Amino acid sequence: MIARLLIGVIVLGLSMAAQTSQVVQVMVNVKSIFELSVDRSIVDFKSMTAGEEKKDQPDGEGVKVNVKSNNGRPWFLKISDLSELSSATDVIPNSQFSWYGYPSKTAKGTWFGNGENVFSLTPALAYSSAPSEYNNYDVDPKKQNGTDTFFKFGVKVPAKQNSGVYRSVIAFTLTE
Amino acid sequence: MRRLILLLVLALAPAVFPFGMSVDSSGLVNLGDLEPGQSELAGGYNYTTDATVVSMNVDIHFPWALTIEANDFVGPTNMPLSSLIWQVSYKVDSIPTSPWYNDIINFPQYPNDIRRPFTSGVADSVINNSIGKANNGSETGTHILGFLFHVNIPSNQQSGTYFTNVRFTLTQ
Repeated sequence: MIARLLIGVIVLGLSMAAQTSQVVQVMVNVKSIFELSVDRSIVDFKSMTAGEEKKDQPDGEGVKVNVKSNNGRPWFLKISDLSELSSATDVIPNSQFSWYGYPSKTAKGTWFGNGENVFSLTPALAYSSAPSEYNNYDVDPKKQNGTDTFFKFGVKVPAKQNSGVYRSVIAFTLTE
Repeated sequence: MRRLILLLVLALAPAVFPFGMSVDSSGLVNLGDLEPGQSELAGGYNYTTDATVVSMNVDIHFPWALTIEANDFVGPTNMPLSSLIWQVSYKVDSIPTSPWYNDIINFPQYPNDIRRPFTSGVADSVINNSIGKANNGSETGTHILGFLFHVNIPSNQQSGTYFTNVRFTLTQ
């Protein structure tokens, strides 16, 4: 009887398992990417005569505007000009200066350029993102990185317009 | 009867040792600000001062194991646990001449050695309980391991702050 008890106690002693746990929280902050890029800095309508109208400028696919965001929120691309086309004190009004274009084939959002959009000094909505584009950033070169949109411009020189080199600055604005 | 009492005490004695574990990180390891696709290894590391130090007291007569586990990151969206890798960057052992010490020192744990994903949970262990006492006669062993955590942010990860809880469990 004593021997059995002893064996039982020894087995009990050997099988006692101790365990303790501690938790450490690991934290990392993934930086925000919110970028807008334009593939050229000048759109040149070249020489025009009074009363002439030019559309579809620049040639080819137009001005490519790329938007990248990894913020996971809706974003909006807007367009405006910072001033009307001006040469010294002479002005071609914004009513004669238009923008239009198209989104890329992979873009999933809504395009607001219907072909009849004239410029304004207040940013006008050109493109709103689809939910699948709220995070469209990917540094993997094999994958689509960002959303491309393409802009073209047209101008109609008024019949009585003074001669001169007329300039304006087109602004693309990205908001969320 | 006296002999029986003596044997009972002897049988229970192995369970009486200062078993325990402490972690020095104040509960938080901040890996900083990283861009999608960026590896936190890019900035380099100090393998001692940046380490999360786990100190363990165990009875050298019995097998023990330290496990490490975690879950997916929690944040604005999911970030998989496979983004996180742990590494033992250094060790300190109170019984350097024991066979146990050799067991541990052979464990891949030094800078530029193996880095492990969290699918492999056993950080360090000794399964051979036939080892002897420490040279100083103590029946406990203090082991200190320095852990580093490396993160590789997925290339399309949404911005924001992500957390995961890493649990160390010492069993003997």
